[in-house]
Amino acid sequence: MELWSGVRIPDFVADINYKLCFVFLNVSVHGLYIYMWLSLLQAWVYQHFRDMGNKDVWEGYRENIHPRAMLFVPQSGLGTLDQYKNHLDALDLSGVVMAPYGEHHQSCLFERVSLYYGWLKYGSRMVRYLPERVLRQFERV
Amino acid sequence: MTLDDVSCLLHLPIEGMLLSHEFITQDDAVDSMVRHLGSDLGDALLEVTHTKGAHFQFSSLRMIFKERMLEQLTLENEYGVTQEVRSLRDQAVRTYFLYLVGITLFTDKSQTDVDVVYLRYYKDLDIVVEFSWGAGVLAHLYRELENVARWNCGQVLGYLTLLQI
Repeated sequence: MELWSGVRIPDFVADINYKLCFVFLNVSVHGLYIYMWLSLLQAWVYQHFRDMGNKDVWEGYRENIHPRAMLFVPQSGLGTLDQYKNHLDALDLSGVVMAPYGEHHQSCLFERVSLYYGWLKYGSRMVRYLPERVLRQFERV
Repeated sequence: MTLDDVSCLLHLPIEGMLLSHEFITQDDAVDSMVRHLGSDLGDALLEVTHTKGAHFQFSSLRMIFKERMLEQLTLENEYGVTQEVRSLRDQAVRTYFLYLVGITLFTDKSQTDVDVVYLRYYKDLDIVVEFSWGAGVLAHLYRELENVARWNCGQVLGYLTLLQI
């Protein structure tokens, strides 16, 4: 497994705690994907808005192994801010994917905690988490 | 964006303890570097002086990772897997994880270093998976988006005032 600046991470790292490593390493398995972490947001946009931005599909992607974010290989965006505005103005329901993870939920099970609503803490800061506003994503509406 | 999005897009755990930490001082940071990464006290002090905060430079993390890997390899070849080798490996893993969260999960405006505060979640490598990294990332992202919106707002306001004058 190739890591930054050609350092290979040895097998013992994978021995420490399989699950722990799985969580972190699958993010970095493909060196290619490290740099594109802005990516969580980007991948989310790609998933929910069909025509937004130019992206390629990574042909090595396997639905039951990889996180969904790895499906995309970003190309150039739409270009100028005006183009984004026009795109958003023209957007209607047909361009929005409400529940994009249908098949993926077979390998990555839906967890009830997603339906929790209230506050999320990160460090010493709190933010509101309001999933009840996007119920369609949970295929309940 | 929901926790379900984070879970499906990144396969990070969304259940478990929330990441909860306060701002840490330079002294705490030095202490933590020495204890968990096996840094030399002098090096750790130099690091916080250089970054002017409780931060660690990516370049130093890379160096430490390589050093620990070499050390453990040399020791292993000589004496087999001893307690010391294990502790060196743990230090290498912690270094790696600190680097990884710095460039991926919790990126901030600085492109060159990472906050040492995250090291506290790697004290015990067995329980790392029990933290809700997904919720942390989501909260961080929400917060950053909020900041961006406010920042734009400030810019526009400033600009308009300038225009009026």
